[in-house]
Amino acid sequence: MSNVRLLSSDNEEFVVQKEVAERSVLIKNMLEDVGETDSAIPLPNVTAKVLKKVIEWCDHHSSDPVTTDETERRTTDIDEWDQKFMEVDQETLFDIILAANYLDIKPLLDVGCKTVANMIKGKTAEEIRKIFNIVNDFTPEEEAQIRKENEWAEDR
Amino acid sequence: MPPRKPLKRIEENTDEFTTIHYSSPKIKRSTRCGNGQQSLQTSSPKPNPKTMTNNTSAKQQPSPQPITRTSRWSQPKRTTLSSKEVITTIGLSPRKSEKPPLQTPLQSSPEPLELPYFFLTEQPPSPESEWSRSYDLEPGPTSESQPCMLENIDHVQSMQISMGTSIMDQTPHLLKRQLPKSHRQTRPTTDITEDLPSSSSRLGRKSTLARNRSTSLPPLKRVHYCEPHSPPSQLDIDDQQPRLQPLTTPFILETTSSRRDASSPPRTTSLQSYTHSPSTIPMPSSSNTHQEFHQPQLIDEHSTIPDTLIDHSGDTQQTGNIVWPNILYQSWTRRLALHGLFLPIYQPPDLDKPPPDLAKPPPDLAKSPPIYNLNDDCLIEILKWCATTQTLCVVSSVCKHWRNVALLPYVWRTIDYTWSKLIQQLESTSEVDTMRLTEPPDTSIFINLRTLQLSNMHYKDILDLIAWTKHLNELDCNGILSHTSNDVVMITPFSNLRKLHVLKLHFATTCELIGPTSLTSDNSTGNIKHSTTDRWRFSPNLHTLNITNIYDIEEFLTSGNSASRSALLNQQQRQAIVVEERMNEMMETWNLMENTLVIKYRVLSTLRNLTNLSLGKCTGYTARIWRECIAPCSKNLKQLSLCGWIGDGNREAPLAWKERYDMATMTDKPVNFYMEDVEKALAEMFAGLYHLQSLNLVDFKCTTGLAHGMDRLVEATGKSFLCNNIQPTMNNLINKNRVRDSSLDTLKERCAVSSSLAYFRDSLGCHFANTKIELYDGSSVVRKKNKIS
Repeated sequence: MSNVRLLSSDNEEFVVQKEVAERSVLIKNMLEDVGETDSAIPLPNVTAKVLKKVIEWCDHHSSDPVTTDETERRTTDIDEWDQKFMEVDQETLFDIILAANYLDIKPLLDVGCKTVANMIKGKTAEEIRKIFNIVNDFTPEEEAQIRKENEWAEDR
Repeated sequence: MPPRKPLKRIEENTDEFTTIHYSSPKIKRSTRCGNGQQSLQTSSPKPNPKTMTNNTSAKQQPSPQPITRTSRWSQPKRTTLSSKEVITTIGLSPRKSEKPPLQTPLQSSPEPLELPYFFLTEQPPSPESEWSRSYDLEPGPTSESQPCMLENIDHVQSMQISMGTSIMDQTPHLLKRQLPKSHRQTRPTTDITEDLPSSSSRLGRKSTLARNRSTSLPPLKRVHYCEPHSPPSQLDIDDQQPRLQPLTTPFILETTSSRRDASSPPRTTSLQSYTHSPSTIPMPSSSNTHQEFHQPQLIDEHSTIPDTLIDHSGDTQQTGNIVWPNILYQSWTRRLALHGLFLPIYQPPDLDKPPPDLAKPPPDLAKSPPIYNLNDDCLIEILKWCATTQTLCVVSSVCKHWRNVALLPYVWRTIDYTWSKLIQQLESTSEVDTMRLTEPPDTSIFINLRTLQLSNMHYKDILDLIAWTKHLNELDCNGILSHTSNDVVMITPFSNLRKLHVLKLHFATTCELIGPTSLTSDNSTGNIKHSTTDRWRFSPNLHTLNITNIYDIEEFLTSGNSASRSALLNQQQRQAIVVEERMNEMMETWNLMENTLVIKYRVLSTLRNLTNLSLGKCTGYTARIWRECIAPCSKNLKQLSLCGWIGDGNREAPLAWKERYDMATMTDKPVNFYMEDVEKALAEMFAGLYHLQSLNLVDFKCTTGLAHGMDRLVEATGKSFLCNNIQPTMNNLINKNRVRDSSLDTLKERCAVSSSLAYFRDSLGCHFANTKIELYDGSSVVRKKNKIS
């Protein structure tokens, strides 16, 4: 089985099985376009640290069937292994999501997004701000306005 | 009961794309300067035929009808309902206003992945018309406290700009801005035909649009539109003074659209007034400047076209850091702040002093906690997993940027809706003794609904619902509740959904499945069956059919009991005539039973395109069912789930048994030497599954039929297979009949894995509690096996 060399943004090289690398649609398409090549594929948007994580994920899931079924994908539970995998600090988590988006690894993107979504669900806006360290940039009037607008959906 | 306020708009013109040409005498523009024209055009590389193609015919219309737009507004693609009640559609569409429809030029492509084609033309303002008082800005009836966007857009001339906004912030691949050629000595090839008089393009003026000065109106929210040449700091210019000007810079905006739909303007909802302010600030003048859109990195990696904004501005003066896609984001606020790291920033080269607040991004974004690293695409992806109205509303009140993203129509296209509101209301007034739930006044709101996922709804309600949603492609009902006293269900009504591709019915309690003629077949079975089976058929496109947690009453009516047969056998030696009579009697009841069963399942035989089939309980199936109903639809199956095969010989027709028995006595072999007829049928069915990739057997006895069939299949196709015997867990036992819940399997341990070709032969007589068999072509199984070991 042939290997593929991937070059992270900070110029670290990873040698990965082709099958594993092809979990990324981006890389898969690249390989298809380029054909057999010895040169490393540069991934300017992914740092070595994140790329390592992504490869770890791809390796574990390399033989998963590719589900295109939208509903299948929408189940919200996360695989146990994936849950563990996603137990990282927020920065890494978001970097993984960004990388998955960039590399076009839909299942990984889903897992990451689900993880974040689970952090959001059931929280109040203030709690969410706290979790993600978001600055509330609404003025009090705006906030009142928004509250009014959102009344209809409120859980009371 | 729907929420008090509309969630979003509910589509009115639902079934067809509507082209709305509207002209309002109330909208006039002043063009002191003669004719200007604005044209906003978005085109996608491959226009989607389903989406709107706008007419450009309006170009030359006379002045009092300045706007011609075509709008189409698609329904949310899917609605997920859960809990017991029916529906609300979360839609994003213009509310019908009592005013002459100044429709918004909005359009969403039905498929998120399809490229929308989008076109908008704006009329040149006529010289006589005036900008002012152009907008009779009476807010619509609900304008005061609209929860969400898109209200009253129709009053706003600036729609095109907000379109621009949405285009730019969603699909900012290519932005090209051009002035009429006269200003740069060449004629544009676009459909701009009018020259802008130079007076009109002077900066330093302010034009105010859409400000209704009628005092009787409720306070207006404002949307500030920053003319590309105006410095952002001028956005707050009060628009009270009616110094009105036509838009000074006609422009064309072309966008190659991205995979997301670019069409729906995200935040125009609360748009109630529009301030157009080519600024009064003195600008450094530069003629014929080329300006570039600096496209932020992560917007779209696939964009092949450089994102450039070319401005041939003639005598128009240029200035400012324009971040106009942002501007509408703050449509509900009066201050302009810069948000959204990834929005295009318009940066003219010769800018003397950029307004400080826009020149640099807000400091908190610069250093920022990690969440700010996420781009909008990813944020949207995340929000798609929070698809309840409550969560989305909470998210929208976290910060401005999140609000902007959360209010994208795209995010709202799929909504999980629970009727908690109604339940809460009922709880608070527990004395309700009569409740009438009537049909929604207009069922056409569902007409664009393609996917419907329902959970824990009553069977009867589902039947009502599908009567309104005829165009469904996918219906997924989980945990269907049935009336406790009457657990009889039919699948006939679902045949009315003629466009169905996916049908999944999982019943919460085990229900009896009855066929179309069960109630009437008492007398003349033979005749009725033919007429009725032809009448109802499932949609020919159906490729996934899951019906689980049902049973056939016929399995208990069986007369082919092996015990009684052996009793018969003993008798036979004594009184041949009596036995003969009993045998006939038995065959008659059997045939009657088998007929009803065949009628019930015959519908399956027409489903030639089926690739995924789950049947909740096949305990009652007889040889004819396997042969006449299941086998014909199983030719293309990739996934098959079967549940509840007991294989105790009860499903063999008496006649077949008799033949087998006679054969055995003739050849002097034990009866069991010959395969039961029903097992033969089963084997034939399995042997024909050439395309099978996965087989799930729940509560299934490994009978000779299964083993034989799989052997033949493997032999014929060279497939190899891998079996995962999943140990019955608590969960599994509870959901004994829940074939569909394959997601649970991941939680269970893989107890036994085997890829032995003789696996089925070896496990003959075993009971598969829950076995998953994956089939592979040729050698790939080896790799898989290694991986597992």
